Amino acid sequence: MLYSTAEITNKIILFIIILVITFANFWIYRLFQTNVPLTILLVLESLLLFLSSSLQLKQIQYLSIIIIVLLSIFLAKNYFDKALFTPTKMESIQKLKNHEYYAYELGKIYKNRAGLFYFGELKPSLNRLNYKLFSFLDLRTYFAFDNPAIYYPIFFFPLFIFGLIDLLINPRLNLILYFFWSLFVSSLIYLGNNLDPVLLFPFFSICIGLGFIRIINYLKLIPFL
Amino acid sequence: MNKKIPFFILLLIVSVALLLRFYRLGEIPAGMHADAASQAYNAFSILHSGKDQYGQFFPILFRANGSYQPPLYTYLSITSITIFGNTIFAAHFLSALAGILLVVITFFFCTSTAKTRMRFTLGLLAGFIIATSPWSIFFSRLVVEANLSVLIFVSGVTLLVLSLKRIRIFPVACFILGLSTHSYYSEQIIILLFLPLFIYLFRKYFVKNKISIVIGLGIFFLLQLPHLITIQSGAFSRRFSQVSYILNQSETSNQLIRNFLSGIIRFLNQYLSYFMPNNLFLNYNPSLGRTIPDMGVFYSWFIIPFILGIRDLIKKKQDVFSKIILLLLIITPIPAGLTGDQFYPLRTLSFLWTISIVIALGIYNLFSLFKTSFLKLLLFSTIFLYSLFSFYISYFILYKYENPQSSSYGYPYIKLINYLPLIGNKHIIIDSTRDIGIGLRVAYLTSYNPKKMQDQLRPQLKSLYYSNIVNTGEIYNIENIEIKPVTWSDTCKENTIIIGDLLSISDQQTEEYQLKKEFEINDITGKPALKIYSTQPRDQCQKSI
Repeated sequence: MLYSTAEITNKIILFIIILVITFANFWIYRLFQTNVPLTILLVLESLLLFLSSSLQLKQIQYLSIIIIVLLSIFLAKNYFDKALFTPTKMESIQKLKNHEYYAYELGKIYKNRAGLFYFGELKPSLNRLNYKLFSFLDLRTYFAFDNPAIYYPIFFFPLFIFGLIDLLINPRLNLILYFFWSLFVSSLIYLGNNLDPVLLFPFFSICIGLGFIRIINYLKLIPFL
Repeated sequence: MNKKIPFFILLLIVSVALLLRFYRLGEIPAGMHADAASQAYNAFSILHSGKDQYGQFFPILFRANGSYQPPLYTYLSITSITIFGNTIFAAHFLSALAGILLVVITFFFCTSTAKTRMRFTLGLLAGFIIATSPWSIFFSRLVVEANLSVLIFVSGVTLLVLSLKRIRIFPVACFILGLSTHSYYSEQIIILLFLPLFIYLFRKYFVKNKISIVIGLGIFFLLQLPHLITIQSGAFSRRFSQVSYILNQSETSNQLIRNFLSGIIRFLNQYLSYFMPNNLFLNYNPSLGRTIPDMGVFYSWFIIPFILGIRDLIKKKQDVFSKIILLLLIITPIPAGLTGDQFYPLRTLSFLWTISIVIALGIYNLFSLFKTSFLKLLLFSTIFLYSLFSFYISYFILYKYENPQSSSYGYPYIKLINYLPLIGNKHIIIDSTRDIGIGLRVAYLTSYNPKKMQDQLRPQLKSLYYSNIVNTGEIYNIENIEIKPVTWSDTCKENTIIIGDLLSISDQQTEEYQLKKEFEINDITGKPALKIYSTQPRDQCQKSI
């Protein structure tokens, strides 16, 4: 695929914007303090995801998929959250109470192997997984609304929202698939120190970048964009 | 499509809504919240005397221990209490009915607003979402004036939309919206923002019909006059200071700019909390006053159609339907954003209604991905049936048992009423230290004479009826029952029964004051909740005399 000079310049500027945003936050420095190779791979993934959606080159897409698969395997293997399948003391007490309620109200619907397994084991584990998954979707956490800034400064929030809107209007399949996959893997791991959504870092960086690009396009700040 | 089919399906949806709202209404949740008891007794009192529990003639706001309840729900409850008597069912009836009517109004809103080819399907989907959403069922089964308010508000918005085709409807719409401001506090702010913005959005049309606009706005402002009275009294500011963080900012700080900026950030934080998926689609807040166990205000899987619905709205933002829904999405969480509680669904039912429409739009878009009707029907039936099963477990089982234990619904005190004949004519003292609603629950359920109640409560007011200074800890005397915080001098009274919860009197105090335990009343799980003692005045009592 051949590009004109203007298009190449365009893409280089966009690439630099994404690169700057990838480093202009608190999150990446906390990641560097935790694990340098992991962080390098995440930065690389951010750039590859952006390039794969703008350049449409299959080699970049494949490389991006390889990196995310490697990251997922590494994190799932070393940081798998066993607490997902282990109830806390409070949950155990509640489970005993619920057992009485279900037994009284549901009778034979509950008092059989399938019912006991579903209500006693499966449902609580799914609830925990659900809770963890949705906890990553509280966007305010990432932009320091009611807590110290440990991810992005607050003024990145409108950029992120514009980026999300851009993604809704012009869906990029690779980004959307990446988001759902990283959300799922993040809900299975425990890193501590508020680092669990580590795989979402590329998604956030790109969304903020897309939002920034959308604004400068709208304001026509860079004429040849 | 045969024109009768949508209405037949709507009838089926309304039947589902009716079943989910009226099944064991009055039994689940067990008990009666203090605010509900207040509204119910005030309705009973107005019915028989034209005055509320304090003897105020047809109040603009009901004082009710300082919560200053908007009046419309209480006045309309008079009808259900007349028909069904002084029962918990009667108190809840209006809210449940409002929840069902909301399904119908939502259908008409969508059919009036959306594009021709999709309006009936979207209307039915939206009606079904409202009929089966956890938030709508939950609040329909409580005495919640906000549930009535959202019905009136949506009716007003529907009429506003219809006025775009027939301008004569505009004054009627303004009347309904004006009425809505007397049903709940949130709607007062929402409508003051929504109405002018709606007129502005469609200004090219309205500018050609100025007379109707003037008449309509005149009617609306006339209906706001009662609010101006209460604003001056301090009653409104009391309510605002109870819930909002704005008036609680430090007045001594000189750093006005910093306070202003932190106020903006706090508002944004509160406001945005209503859009966060974890709050909308997950049981994020464990307080049983706001949601039910293991369930959020919407089913978790609704997040997918929600995102698709938002996408559709943004892409078609020039359509009338999209404009109105986007406007409502932005405005309706503002009142809740001004309050200090994180994600309080009760204060934002109009917003949840709007989200339901977005979800319905998303499901409509999902439907269009499936070519075969059978596959559509199978998939969505399966998902919805599982969702309703989950709701049944969470609400009709877990909530049924957990709510009475952890909230102020006073179930044991209501059960106590059945035991009163056993106690006979002895003087009864019920400890109200931890539950201010006991007096009005007993008064309502025993149909206590409103005139006698007014005569005892009015003198206890230490400020004007409408005031930002409100005293609490009222003492009730209902026949031979005295409801007040128990003091130890009460143990010296002869022929007296003292009733309290588990924290009222310890075993040690029972021995010390020589109280005789007569029996216990259990809560819904069968555990003791109230203890009933008879007094045995002792020598120390004689010496103290």
